[in-house]
Amino acid sequence: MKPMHLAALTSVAITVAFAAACTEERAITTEPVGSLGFGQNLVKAQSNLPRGRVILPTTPIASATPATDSIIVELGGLDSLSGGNYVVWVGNDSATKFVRASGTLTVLRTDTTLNAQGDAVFSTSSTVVGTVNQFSTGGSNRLMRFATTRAAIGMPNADSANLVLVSVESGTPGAAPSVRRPLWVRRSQSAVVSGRLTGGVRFGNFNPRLSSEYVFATSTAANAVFGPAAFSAITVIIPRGRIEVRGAIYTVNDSNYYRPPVGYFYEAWTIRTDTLGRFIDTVSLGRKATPFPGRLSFYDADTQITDPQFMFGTPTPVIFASQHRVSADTIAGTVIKGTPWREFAFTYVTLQNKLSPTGRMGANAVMVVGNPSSVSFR
Amino acid sequence: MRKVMLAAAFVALAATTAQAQVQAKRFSVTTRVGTVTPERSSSLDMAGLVGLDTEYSLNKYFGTGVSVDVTRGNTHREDFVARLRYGNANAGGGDTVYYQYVGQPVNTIHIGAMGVARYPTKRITPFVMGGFGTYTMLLDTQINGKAAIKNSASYTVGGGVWIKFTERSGIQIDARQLTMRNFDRGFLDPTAGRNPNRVFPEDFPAVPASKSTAGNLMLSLGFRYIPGSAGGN
Repeated sequence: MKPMHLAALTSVAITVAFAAACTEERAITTEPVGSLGFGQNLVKAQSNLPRGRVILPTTPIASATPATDSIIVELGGLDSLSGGNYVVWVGNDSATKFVRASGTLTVLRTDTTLNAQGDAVFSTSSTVVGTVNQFSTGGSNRLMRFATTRAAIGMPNADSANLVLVSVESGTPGAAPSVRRPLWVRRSQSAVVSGRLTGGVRFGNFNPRLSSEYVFATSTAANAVFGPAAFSAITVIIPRGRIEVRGAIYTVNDSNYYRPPVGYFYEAWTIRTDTLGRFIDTVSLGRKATPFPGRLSFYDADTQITDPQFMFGTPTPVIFASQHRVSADTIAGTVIKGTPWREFAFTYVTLQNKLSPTGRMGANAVMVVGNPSSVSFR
Repeated sequence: MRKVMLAAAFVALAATTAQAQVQAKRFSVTTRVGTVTPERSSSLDMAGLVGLDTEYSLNKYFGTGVSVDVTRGNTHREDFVARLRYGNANAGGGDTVYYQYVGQPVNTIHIGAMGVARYPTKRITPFVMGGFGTYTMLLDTQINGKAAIKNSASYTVGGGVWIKFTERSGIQIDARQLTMRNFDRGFLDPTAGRNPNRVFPEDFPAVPASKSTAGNLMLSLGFRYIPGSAGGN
């Protein structure tokens, strides 16, 4: 090869090398990509969780007139059930003897409206359902009053009425409550109020051993141990999280949830409002699941460690990371005026009863946030 | 079949010109330009390459020398997604998040000692080489907010051909695999992992698993020159 050819070949090679090395993008170190995200932090709400009180007979065993040994159960925050029933049981302290209770059920309903001045107006109505030994009625604005007596439920006079328990039954109840025992009152945890022995209803997982019962809470260090005792003593489990909407994708990223009581699971919802702020649509954002890439559902976290990487602690495991994620592309009615999630003004994380209707937001809110106006246009 | 025939022709060419072309105890200098293609897990894009080889021929078949390669490329921006938040997520209006690919230029200098084994013929001399050395990566100080320099050991294997043009000059075509040890992909992240995208991970390209080594395929074309009064290859 002649030197001229060699020089030309070398020049071409150098030019190609520098062209590859010096593209016009070189000076640009950042590149915006895709849609903007808009988000806001969730706020712990813990509102309308199952609650209530029970009025117990004054004495554990029957009095001289068992027909007047009243047992009154008042419950709120119950979700209506489509696949099961609530059943009231009366038992002894060690929970070895149970009697299924029948009694008179009265449903009190409270409706709230706004008057012309914008003030809330409450109107209450009550309906006597009659004598029942189970019920499936519920709702966020309903209180249940279940009234009976020792004599009415046929409890032997010598047996102690030290425990009132509400179970959730998916079939015909047996001689004892099912494993779903979310509500209970013990005589030992009751006190005399206005001359009547009254106990506050606990919500969680009943256990005959007082130290082993699990009371559902969203801001307590109780019933959780994570490693060294010194660490556990100062650990307070408070759920927190954040929603973010990016294009068609709606996510809820949250953490620090205690395992739900047996028979319950977590689900997130977004609510569309009209210009007056009235709720006009509710869309499920899905059940709580582990973050990407696993996406393992926490639906059975009430009884299982569905993913030990994101759920641990004893004896009551905590969900330490989760995400809900949906796309407006796959849900009808979520693209308003060409904008995904427009007019969706609220996000809720709720506890859902597994026997309640699927796809319907329940009564038990755990977290809530008003969506940013950049999402809702409200 | 075509490859076999080409290989046979190459061997035949070498055989018919089997004649020593390399003079022992002489230096040669090769200036090289080319490209370097890092393996995907390194999160580096293909870059240009400028190199210099200096070799001392121990005898007809073996030589030793020093190789220097300088590259300037970019990080693979899609592997470094940052969330830049503006506003207050606790306030009524919420916050706004910009998703950005963040890249930066990377200067890399590789210096190594090498050994060469060859089979000289009249015009074409195939060779293989191997060596070890060190590489230094230098990042932009302003982008990273500090002096960002990393160096560690490396080793090289490769081969190619020399093609003689004159008694003192020729070209060299070679391919080398430079393996960087103790490679740290996090070093290339300008955000230092402060604003990771954990909210929409599946909406962005998947990032391959990181490795502690990084392979780099270097293809180069060189101009080989033998200084002094006697020509060679």
